[in-house]
Amino acid sequence: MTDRQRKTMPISPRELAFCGLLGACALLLPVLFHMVRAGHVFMPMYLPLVTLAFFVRPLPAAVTACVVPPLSGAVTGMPPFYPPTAIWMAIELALMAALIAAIVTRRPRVNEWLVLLPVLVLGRFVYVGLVYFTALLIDLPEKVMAGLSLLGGWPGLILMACVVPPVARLRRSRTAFGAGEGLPAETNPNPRSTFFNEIAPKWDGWEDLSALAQKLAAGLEEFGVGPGETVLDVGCGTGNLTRALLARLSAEGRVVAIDIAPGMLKVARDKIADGRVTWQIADAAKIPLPDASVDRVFCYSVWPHFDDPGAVAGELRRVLRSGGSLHVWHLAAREKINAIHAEAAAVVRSDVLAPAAETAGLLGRLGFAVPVAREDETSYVVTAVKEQR
Amino acid sequence: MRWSWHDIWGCARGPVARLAPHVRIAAGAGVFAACLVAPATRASGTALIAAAAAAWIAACRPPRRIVAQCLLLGLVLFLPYFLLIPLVDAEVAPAWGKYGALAVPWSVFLHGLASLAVSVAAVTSLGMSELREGLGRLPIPRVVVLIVVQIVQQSTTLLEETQRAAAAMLLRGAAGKGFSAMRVLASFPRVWLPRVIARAERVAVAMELRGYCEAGSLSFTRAAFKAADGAALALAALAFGGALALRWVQAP
Repeated sequence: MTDRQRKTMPISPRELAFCGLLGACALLLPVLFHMVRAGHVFMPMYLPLVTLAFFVRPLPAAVTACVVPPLSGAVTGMPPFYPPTAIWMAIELALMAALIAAIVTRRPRVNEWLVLLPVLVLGRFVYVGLVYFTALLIDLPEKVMAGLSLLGGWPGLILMACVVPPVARLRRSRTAFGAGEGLPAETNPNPRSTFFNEIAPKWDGWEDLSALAQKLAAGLEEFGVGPGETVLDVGCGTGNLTRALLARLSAEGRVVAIDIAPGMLKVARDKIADGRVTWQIADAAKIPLPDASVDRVFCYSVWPHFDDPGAVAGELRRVLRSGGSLHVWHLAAREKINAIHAEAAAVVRSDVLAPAAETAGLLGRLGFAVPVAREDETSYVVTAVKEQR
Repeated sequence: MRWSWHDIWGCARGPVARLAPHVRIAAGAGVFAACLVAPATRASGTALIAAAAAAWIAACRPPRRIVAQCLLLGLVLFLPYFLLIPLVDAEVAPAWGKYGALAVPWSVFLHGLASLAVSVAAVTSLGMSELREGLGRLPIPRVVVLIVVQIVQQSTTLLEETQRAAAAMLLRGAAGKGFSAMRVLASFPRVWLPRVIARAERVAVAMELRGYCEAGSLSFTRAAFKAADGAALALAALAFGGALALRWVQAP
């Protein structure tokens, strides 16, 4: 699939995952609120669907918002189809979701409250209007029905105004696109994260980026990275290797770039806008990928920062396909790297890069074949291959 | 929920469950539409709605427990409309004479109860995997089908977590009254939604890597169209046509 085709797809896999999970939330949250007899008051179905609109494009947001109320009505009986509460809700939610998603797509940095509050009020008035005109059609007392709708929805609107913006703010820091402030605490347990967040804005200033790009490109050529590969870039930092990988990969290729530091990922995201890369805040010892899902793993300038390299290597072996390669790679002499760390902040002072032979031995004990293990004045390379079964 | 999310899918044992999945959906939609369109304020309309809903439920044959709970829910939802009788214009149904005001809540009650029963019965006749095939074979936009199928699949994985969350909320006093209950309820989505979003990110990465949207996941081999499928569709169309005719005849 080409980039052009990907952009014109009505829904991407990422959007589908969001629509599926938040749509499911919208089905289940009312069930949960009804268990404690507060379903009508708080409009719980609205919460996930309005939140979803901040994360996906208008079409998937509107379609999801439109299908959930009738789906819920069909499966659980709530909201009912007659009077057509399910349809009123579908129209109101689809309108709100489409509007929010359209605004957020055009102005990603817009304040969430400024978008949400007018749209919620507009949606409520559309809902009340629909109730009024339907009541006229089916001979129910229209003013009473509309009045009840208007009065009944306010606690839910207040809850949405309180809950949705802080959650929606995660879109600025969502793992697929950038930094992760505001994510649950367990997402970022490593104390090195703070250190790397602090130095993230300065990082690229310490490198000659054009010279680095040439060295990285030459290295990737030597490693034989194929155009259609799925590559995991562990500790991607500000995305210099990621960019070199993208230059080498074809439209079918993919890069999953992970780092523990949201600040680093934010710099990388701002530098690189490419649909083939997925950014993730993740610890290398707990990678959120399925087994045997990537063709190649790069640990570029990151290996000494692992608390337990054995555990990380085991995790990398898990996500590698049979025959896939792991490259532990630095573009400097080992002694120089260790000297830099020794003079840096306390949190990385004891981060030591072991001799290549020692790293090769560790990987060999974990079941890798290690065809390359060398270090010199300019580089450090250990290539390990997950053997075919 | 009055019935378990897992249990309701595909639990019916009637002849409808042996039809092709897309025929079940289409026929169910036809009966559902008939129940909504037929005029409940006329005896013929009432008879058609009752007959169509009863026939559909009998053909689906969902567990009695679900039918009973469904009827109970219908009573809870639609009986309160009879409280509106003093506010309803009595002349909307001249044929009902002095009971004209009763016609409106009766119409709401009958349409609402029938549509509820028919839709739930249709769901009981479909397994979750059959839903994907059924929707995929109907002329519905692909993006809608993908989203509906994904929502239903993800809801099964979130259900257990939801039940645990409900138990935790009850433990913290969410079922009580007053400020503490409100506080628990209002704070819950702030905790839960970020977790769901984090999970969505992980699912998204897995789906990206597996090329979920690219795999032509909604292509099916051509299935034989059986006589029973045709008969079911014809009966549903007949019910819908009859309802339309009654509605049209009634119109001044």
